[in-house]
Amino acid sequence: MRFADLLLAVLLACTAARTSAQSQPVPDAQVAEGRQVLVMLHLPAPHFRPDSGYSGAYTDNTGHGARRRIAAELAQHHGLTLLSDWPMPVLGIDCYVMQAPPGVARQSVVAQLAADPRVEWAQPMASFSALESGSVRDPLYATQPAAKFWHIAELHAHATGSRVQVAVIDSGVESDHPDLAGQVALQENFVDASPYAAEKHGTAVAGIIAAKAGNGIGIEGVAPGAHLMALRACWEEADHGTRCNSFTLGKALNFALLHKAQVINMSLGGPSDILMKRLVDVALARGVTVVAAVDPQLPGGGFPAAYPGVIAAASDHAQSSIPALVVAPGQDIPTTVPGGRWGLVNGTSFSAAHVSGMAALLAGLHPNVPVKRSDFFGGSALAGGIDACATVLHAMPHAAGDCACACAPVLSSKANKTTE
Amino acid sequence: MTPAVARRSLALLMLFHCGGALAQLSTTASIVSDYRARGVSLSDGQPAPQLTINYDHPQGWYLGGFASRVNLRGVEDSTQLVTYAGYAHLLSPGLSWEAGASKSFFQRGAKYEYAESFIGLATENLSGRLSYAPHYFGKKDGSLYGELNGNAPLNDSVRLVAHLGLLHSPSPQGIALPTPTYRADLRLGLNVDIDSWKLQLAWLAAQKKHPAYVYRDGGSPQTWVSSIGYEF
Repeated sequence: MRFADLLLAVLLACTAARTSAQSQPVPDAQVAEGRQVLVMLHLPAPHFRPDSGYSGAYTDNTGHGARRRIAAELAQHHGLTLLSDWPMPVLGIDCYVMQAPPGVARQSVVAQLAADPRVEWAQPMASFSALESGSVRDPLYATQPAAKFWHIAELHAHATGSRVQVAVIDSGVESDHPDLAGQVALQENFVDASPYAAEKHGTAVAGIIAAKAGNGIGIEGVAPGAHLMALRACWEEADHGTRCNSFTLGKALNFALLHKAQVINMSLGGPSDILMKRLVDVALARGVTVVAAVDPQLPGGGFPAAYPGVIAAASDHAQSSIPALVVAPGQDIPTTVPGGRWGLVNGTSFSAAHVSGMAALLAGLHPNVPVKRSDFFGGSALAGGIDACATVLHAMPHAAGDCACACAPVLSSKANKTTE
Repeated sequence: MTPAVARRSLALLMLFHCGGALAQLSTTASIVSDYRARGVSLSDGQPAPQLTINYDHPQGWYLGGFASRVNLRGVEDSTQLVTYAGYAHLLSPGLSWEAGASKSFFQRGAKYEYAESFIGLATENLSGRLSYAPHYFGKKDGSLYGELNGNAPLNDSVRLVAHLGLLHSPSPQGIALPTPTYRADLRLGLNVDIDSWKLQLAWLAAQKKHPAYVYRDGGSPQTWVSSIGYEF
């Protein structure tokens, strides 16, 4: 056997072994999250090396051994356990996850690490939650608010979000759901503790954004022409809550940026987080539209919704004093759920999904123009929040009048009266 | 190894160890099935052990050394040492530039030693570099080499890599007739990183060289090469 053939065999065997190893869950990874810190080390810019295998780009993780060694020294010096790492080339950092022993104050560990000159910065691992309320109802019994108030079928004659890359940073999406088959262009798992799985929250969000239109079943996504990146950074817990953390979300954001997402949907909220702020800054600087759900329980709507430049989405059935919100349907939303089924969901998570779908429609009309908060017309006085027709027509003035009558917005008061 | 090469290697190693706590010092030991540089074999189609030591300073300065077994025309079973240094700087997220220089020494065959300077740009998945050597492998006139490198991750550990290079070089010494002065080379490969192990399988193609070049390169201009390395 030639050396090349032998190496190919070893290479394939090792890849298989790695795949197998990744599917093993790490049982206590989530339990100890409250003791975890993120430690960022400098990732040098790529440069010349004579090694024959070096390709000279950011995604080539050459030199990782040096950073791993520094991380191991830091962990040992501060009495921490080194758990994992992930290079984030868009920020020029290599992110390491370390865990403090029980009883050690995490803030003091963060302060000590941040003072080390080898560390770019350190931060506590923050926890985030998906913003849904109640459980999924079945069977599907109501029409879609997006159809009733936004007239999406008429809008689809003008815009479907064709080929717009929408990153759904959430729990796992059921990519082979009959209403989503073919809509998911990329699927990645960033949760080390469990393998990729079809989960409720991610599948519901994905369906609202881009469920297939005109296939005779289920629902119609707001932007059925969009291509989804199903980035699993959150996981479903035993109480059916959906949780994520700084590290999993950071990895997914980094991936979305590397793969040229045009719209990033984050139907989740939590505390302010340095790593995520910096990644969102890069996304906004690149003209990526970032949509996040407002958490009514957190000051200012929580992070990332309250972060400048992020489009904050709230439910049209919720009272909120937060300025500059984009209001969208968030109650009794029929959408896709795992098992090839459909159900009703509630919460600002799904308002964010509607806004991301609308952002994809606008991005499809003008791919090189970033979608901003000011591109959305309407408000809480309208049923469904966004005046979808005005929003789309403003983006395509040559089509004015085409759907002005059919898309007439409904006032919230009138909509409520009809329901009563 | 001659005393001169040994002294240079030792000096380089001592310099690395004076880097301080902020240094990122990595070493990669590898074996390649055929040491090909710019499309031609420097190991006469035979496997070669290689060692790279690289130092990165947080401010962007870098330097390193690379050693490989080589087998050149008239200089058999020798060792090449390439020392390099430069500066790489992040211009904006995902975009950087670099400038640097390298010097190539040979255990035997000092006439082939050459220095080269280069500038380059790199994005997340692409990089380009332009290199100039006044006396590439001892040639009388200057050689210019332009290259484009691409990198497409398939998953956490597997990447497709591509390289396209074009060398503009003077005619070999002692050749009276005009010879082609441009030679292109192509590399398409699959890189697998598993923890600290680095594996590569690549297909290489290069335009036929002139027989008077210093490389022995008895093999085909198109070939498969593979390598296995460990970074520590």
